[in-house]
Amino acid sequence: MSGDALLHIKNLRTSFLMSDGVVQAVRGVDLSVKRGEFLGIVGESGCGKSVTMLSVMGLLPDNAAIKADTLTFDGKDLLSASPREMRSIHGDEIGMIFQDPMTSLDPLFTIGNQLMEPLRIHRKMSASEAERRAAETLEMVGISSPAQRLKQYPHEFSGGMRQRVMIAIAMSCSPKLLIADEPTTALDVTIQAQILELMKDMKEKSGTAVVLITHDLGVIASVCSRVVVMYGGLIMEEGECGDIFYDPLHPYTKGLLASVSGMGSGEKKKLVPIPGSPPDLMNPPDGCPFAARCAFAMKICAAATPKLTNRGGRLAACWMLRRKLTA
Amino acid sequence: MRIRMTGKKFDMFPERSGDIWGDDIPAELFEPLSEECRESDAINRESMSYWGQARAKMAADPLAMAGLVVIALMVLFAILGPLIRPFPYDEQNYSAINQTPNAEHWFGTDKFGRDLFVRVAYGARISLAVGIVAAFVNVTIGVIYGGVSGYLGGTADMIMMRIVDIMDTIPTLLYIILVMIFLGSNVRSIITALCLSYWLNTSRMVRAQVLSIRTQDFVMAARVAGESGWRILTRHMIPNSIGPIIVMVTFLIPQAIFYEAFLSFIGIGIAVPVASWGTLANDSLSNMNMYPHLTIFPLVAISLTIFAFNFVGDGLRDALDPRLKR
Amino acid sequence: MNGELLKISDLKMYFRVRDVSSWLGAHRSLKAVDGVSFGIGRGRTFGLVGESGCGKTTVGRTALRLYRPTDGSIIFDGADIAGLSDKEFFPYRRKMQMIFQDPFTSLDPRQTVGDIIGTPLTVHHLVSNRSERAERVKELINMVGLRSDHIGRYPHEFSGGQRQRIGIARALATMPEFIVCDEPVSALDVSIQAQIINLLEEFQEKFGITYLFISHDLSVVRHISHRVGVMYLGRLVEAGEVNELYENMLHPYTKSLMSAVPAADPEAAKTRRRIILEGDVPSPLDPPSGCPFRTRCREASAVCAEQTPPLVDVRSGHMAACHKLSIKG
Repeated sequence: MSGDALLHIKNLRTSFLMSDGVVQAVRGVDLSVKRGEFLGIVGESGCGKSVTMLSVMGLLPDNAAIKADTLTFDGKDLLSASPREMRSIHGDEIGMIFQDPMTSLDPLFTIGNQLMEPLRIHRKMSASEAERRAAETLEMVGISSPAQRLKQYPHEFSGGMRQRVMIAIAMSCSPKLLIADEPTTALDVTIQAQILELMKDMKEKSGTAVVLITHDLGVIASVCSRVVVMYGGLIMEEGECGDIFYDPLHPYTKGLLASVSGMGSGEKKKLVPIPGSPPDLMNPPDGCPFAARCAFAMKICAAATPKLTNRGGRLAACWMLRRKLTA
Repeated sequence: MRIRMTGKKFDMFPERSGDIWGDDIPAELFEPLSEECRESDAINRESMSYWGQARAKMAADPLAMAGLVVIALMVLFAILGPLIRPFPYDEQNYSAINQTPNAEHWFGTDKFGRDLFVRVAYGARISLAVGIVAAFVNVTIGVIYGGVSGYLGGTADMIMMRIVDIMDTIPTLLYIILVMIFLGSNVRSIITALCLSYWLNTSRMVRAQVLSIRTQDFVMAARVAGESGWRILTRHMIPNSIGPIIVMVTFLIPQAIFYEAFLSFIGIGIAVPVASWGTLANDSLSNMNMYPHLTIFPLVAISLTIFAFNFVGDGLRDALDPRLKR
Repeated sequence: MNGELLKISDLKMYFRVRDVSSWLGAHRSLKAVDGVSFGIGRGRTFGLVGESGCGKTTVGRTALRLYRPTDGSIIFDGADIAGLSDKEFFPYRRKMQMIFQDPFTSLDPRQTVGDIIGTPLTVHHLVSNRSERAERVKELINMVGLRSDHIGRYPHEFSGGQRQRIGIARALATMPEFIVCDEPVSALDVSIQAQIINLLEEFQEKFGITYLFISHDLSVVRHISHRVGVMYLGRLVEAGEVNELYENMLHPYTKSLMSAVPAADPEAAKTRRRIILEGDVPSPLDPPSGCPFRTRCREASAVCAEQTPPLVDVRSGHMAACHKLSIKG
């Protein structure tokens, strides 16, 4: 199982120090990303999905602290990696795309400059070589007349075009892993469709593993092969895309699907929302974070945190799975 | 791992409950959870208003608290200093000139035998009065002018801001000299002069603040609710911009104190025999090598006061900064 | 259907913007809304969908007279409110309310929840004293599913969904007949969205409130609306009863918009054919001639660049603005 794992995370915890306490954003996550797979991490705001991947990249702000039993990427231990080693991994072996295409490009440099920089640093390419490669990558992400576009500045590009450029930068060194953090959230649906199509296409062509972080179940369903569902800083359920959508095990996954599936269909029926609010991670509840909102909650759920349990090859963190086994 | 901040210790990775049961879990634990354990809408944190939070943050900032203590002591010194010593500030006594600090004259005496302790205390009265009055007058003018300009917007805003730009082209020193010629060398003219020029920056800042708040959704919500322009200004705009304004006042006070000391020091501020920290420092210059205490006491008073106000200002800025709030 | 509560006809809202490329600081007009007409029946919901910058929010704000429209009429309950002065409009404020998109910026951070909900009551003299006001605030906060002990708290202590409930309580305070919901759920998590939608539907049933529901989310609009309008670059390109519109889309833009929405269904995603639009939305400062959609439309022909297609009734109330339809018809 872990033999073909590109990224291996065991018991990752990330906390942020705030002026009035500690926010435990990630509270013990085990996760493996296989070579060449398209993994989706889905969850609501504050569930720890972005922080998990930022912790892997070592891109957290100063008030954060991380702790993990294992954190390896392609056989390299990231926990003991020096900032210098981390920098050589960034942009070369791991590419990253962020949510906001308006701010993630430097307005003072041309698109060409920003595309060529990783190639020259990591691949030690000559200027003309890097320029040729940059033009190729731009063409690959569907930007026409790349030679002229390379000389332009970010403000001359629209939001969707900038996100294409971001993908081009992230993919320019043919990384082994591409992390996309809400890459389409800031875009309109027609542009979102373009970008998703492009990401799928790029993954097929390059064989890069992709981790797509999003709150949108529809986005997950249209591109991912495997899905991880997070809530309250923990993984609730993990499995193949089809299993998660058609036969969810965890009550949270069920609730999430129920709250969207009612919408958008012709017949008018009352929606089934998940009652209540997500937990405050400054004072996380004892036991399962979802217990207070769960229709099936038991006494044990409020007392002890369930572990990810394997049931017929599927993983979910819910005491109900244990009950069925013991009963 | 534990990180220490503002005196409190936080456990970054508290133990998680769980993993406590092995294979035999008691059956009763699988009974349904009672309703009261399912209140996820409850808020467990203590309720705190903006000002309550700010006060707590200030109290946790040792430098700001030290600054506040120094300011309080300086105020006490200004009020009580001349009262607890039996020497008027301008009484010359040629039998006791140029004394070093001793039991009778705590800070020593100057070349006319005047008691330095009393004179420094008088200087504190002048400096604090100049600082506080100038800052408050400035802020009042600046808030009204900038607030109106930002609130009206459009052409009115354009004209009002160009007036500010024009006034800003005249150097502050020129204002002061002109005012001194007309009103004489006294505390009142220094305050007037400082007020004439300092409000310009205040009004610019308040205008920017009002402009940014005006575009916020809650202002539009207030319009939808039918609130009048005046009500929106007083209930929403001012309460939301008061934090940065208070911070600005605390930084303006030491600036004004410094300016007064500087003017008096170069001889165009307050005239002798009235004692200001600036004039005291100037008086002592000729004999500085022989009687350094005459220079040291007023200088320490100026530095301490300015440091204290700046520390308090820094603390207030951290405490009132909306971006740091969770 | 007992008549229309709100009728908007040929509404135009142009904003003056400084032309940065001009040395003399000349102004150009940005046609945010350019000739939009629709009506909303009493107690019904009109959903307005479109991508960012299409003018849907401006329509909502203009209907509430937060802007003074450039041209056109807004008939509310039989009276034209488009040209009223702020003072003349004041009595209507009570009847027309709004729910905002961002629950984090639409509540004044310095006020308690009680003050936020109570302000409209005070402003419109709906309560005569403090205790009456406190009583009514308590009633409202319970109505949206929050607890009475939340009244003294400040907005930042609540989660996004809870804040949006506070925003709804504020809008309901004056017992309005009409509420503009400007993207009320798009800033919220999916599990919370359904709570808010249910709440809005519950109040419509209970009090007969009429909604103008503005959103970019097609599935939410389909769920809550009775009638839907699709906007593109300041114009209404298609409008119709909800099921008729979603099942028989007429305008090419609507078709591609619908096909771009990712469904939470991996099997359907594999089999479905998407119409992926090329390019971006043109700038409203410099809109294309004729049909606004022609630059991205696969079916565009010469006539599309020459004339702006009018919104015509294609089949019993289902309207669309496309030359292809009028040629065929």
